[in-house]
Amino acid sequence: MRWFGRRFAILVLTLVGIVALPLMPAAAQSFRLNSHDIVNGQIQPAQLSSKAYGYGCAGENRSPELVWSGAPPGTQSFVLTIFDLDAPNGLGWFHWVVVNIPASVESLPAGASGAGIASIGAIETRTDFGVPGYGGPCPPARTAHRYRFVLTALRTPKLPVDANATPAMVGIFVEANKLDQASFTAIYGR
Amino acid sequence: MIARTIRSALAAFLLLGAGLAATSSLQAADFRVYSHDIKDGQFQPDQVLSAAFGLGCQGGNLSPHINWEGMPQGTQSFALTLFDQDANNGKGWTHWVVVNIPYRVNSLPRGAAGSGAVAAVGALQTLNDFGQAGYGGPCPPPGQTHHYIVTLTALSVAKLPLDKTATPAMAAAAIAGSKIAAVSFAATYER
Repeated sequence: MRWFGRRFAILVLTLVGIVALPLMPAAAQSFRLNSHDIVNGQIQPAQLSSKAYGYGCAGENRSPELVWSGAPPGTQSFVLTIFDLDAPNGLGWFHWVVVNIPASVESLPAGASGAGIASIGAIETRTDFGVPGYGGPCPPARTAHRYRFVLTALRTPKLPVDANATPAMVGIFVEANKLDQASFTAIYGR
Repeated sequence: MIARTIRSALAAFLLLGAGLAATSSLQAADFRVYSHDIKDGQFQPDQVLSAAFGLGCQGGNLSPHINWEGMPQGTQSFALTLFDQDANNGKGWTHWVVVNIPYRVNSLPRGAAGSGAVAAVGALQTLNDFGQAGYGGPCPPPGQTHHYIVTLTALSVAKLPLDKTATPAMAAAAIAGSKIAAVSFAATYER
């Protein structure tokens, strides 16, 4: 009887598996964000902030290529942020904020900050450097920081902000209009 | 023998505990920050954001009186921040940042942010999360209660390398980099 019970349980689990397996790829095709420029989860030298920022890095301040797929139904626009989780200020640090990315857009090429973002009708708003546009990573010497890339799908085509909006202000509107988020984390240490 | 060992261990433990308690109460009495204007831990209507900010509040946007005492040894200046940890953006909201407050100063009067009193003592207001250098009072969404943390940090330098366009993130990094000790209190506002 016990032997039969075990066989029955295995049969049931197998059947459940057979039914569930075809459903799995659908779940795996959910909202995803990736970058081919960020190799092995590491921010690359060209993406670091340039000397002009005065934080001791000598990068090209080039925003990385980003590509996404599987946006949820009803997506009207996207917001992209890069956030340093380990900034030594207890608050974190926004390195890039792009709002009003049209729902039809599925990628940003490398170096899109500036003219590239403007050409698709999106807006770069202020980062924690105090100015709009991409400000690359540059953690203090001998430290490694985690940078969170987040793409949020919104139920509204435009946020009521201009380029002067602070990251905190954009965050309020993003939370209020959020459908779903895709993200990954990259590291840079020096 | 065992009983005596236990008794002496207990006595040593009690003495240690009493010593620690005396030390910690001394420290607690030492450095502290408070406000006579924030009554019963609640922000008052005149301290709330004004209608001009367009977020639906009708306050006076007057910065509250803030007082402190018992600065740690070596203090060269103070930094004051007001931070909403319940802001609906998942990150919080900096409402006020004052840096370079000389160590001789032990209070900011009511309305100091807008009256020129901050500049008069040689201190500097940097940007808040409204994008302005100055005080932006509490104004949570209707029906919500938010917790606001007032923090005073004693610093080992007289001046931070900031100007009035420094973001809250920049100011917080500079404050953390020169911190000797920080004290704070929480107050709420409900709309």
